[in-house]
Amino acid sequence: MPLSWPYLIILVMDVKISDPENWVEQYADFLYAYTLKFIPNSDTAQNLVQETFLAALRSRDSFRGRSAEKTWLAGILRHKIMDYFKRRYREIPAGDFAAASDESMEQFFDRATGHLKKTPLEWQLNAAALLDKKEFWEAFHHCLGRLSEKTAAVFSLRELQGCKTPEICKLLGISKTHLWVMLHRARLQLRECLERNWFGKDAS
Amino acid sequence: MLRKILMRLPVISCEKASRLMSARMDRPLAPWEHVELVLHLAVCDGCREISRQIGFLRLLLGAWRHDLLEESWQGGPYLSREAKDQMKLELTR
Repeated sequence: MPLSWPYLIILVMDVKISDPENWVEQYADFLYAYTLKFIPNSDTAQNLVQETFLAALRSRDSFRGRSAEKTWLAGILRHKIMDYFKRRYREIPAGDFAAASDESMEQFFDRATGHLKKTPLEWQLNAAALLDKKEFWEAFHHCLGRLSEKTAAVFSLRELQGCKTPEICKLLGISKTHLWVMLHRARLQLRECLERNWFGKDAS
Repeated sequence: MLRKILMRLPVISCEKASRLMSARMDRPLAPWEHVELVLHLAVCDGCREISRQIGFLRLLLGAWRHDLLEESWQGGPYLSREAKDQMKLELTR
């Protein structure tokens, strides 16, 4: 067969797909770390990683090297995570939960005046320094784990996944208002926890 | 002088301001909501710092995700050797 260039491209693309036997060594840690940011439970995270590899194996033929292998696997994992959330947190839209939402904000604001109860400390904001800091992410992981499961899931979908409001609402069957209340709560609680466990300490 | 003027205006509470500063991360604010928030932040150091901090967290998490997808990413947490061996077993069945 003549070595025409379209043939060569296909040949090269095939060579780029690595052997599934190598997938675990190459990608398991990455997929695991990724999952833990959404689901703080190590057993569940491990299962989802396993399921991702199996799904990837089954659909291997449809992967034609259009994107990086890592991105492809991450995409499969993302679907698994969304499905997990859907199964676990989807609910019939509830009625008015304003009372419940006001209650949880009481920890931050004076009931009568609406003033901030506690003045925040000034944080050193250095994203570049924090990205590689293992200890910071451990503190973050701890703080994420302190949120209620559903609140943490919603926050992760929004901030880590970048999902938009309608997407999350559709996935979990909640109203926009409900979502925004949860995100508000998550942001304040996370902020406070991180202040106590990281930014407020003598850490650099 | 400007601060004195601002402090005489009816300013929303910290609680409402915090609701708005969070909301604007998910949807556009209506013009009056925007004005209410800006006025409050102009006179409230605490809320201004909080706004800065939650904005920073968004930035940081976005950067983390981008970082993670890089081919060179080396961070943890890591799976145990046993867990990995188990996965390899499952894959090659």
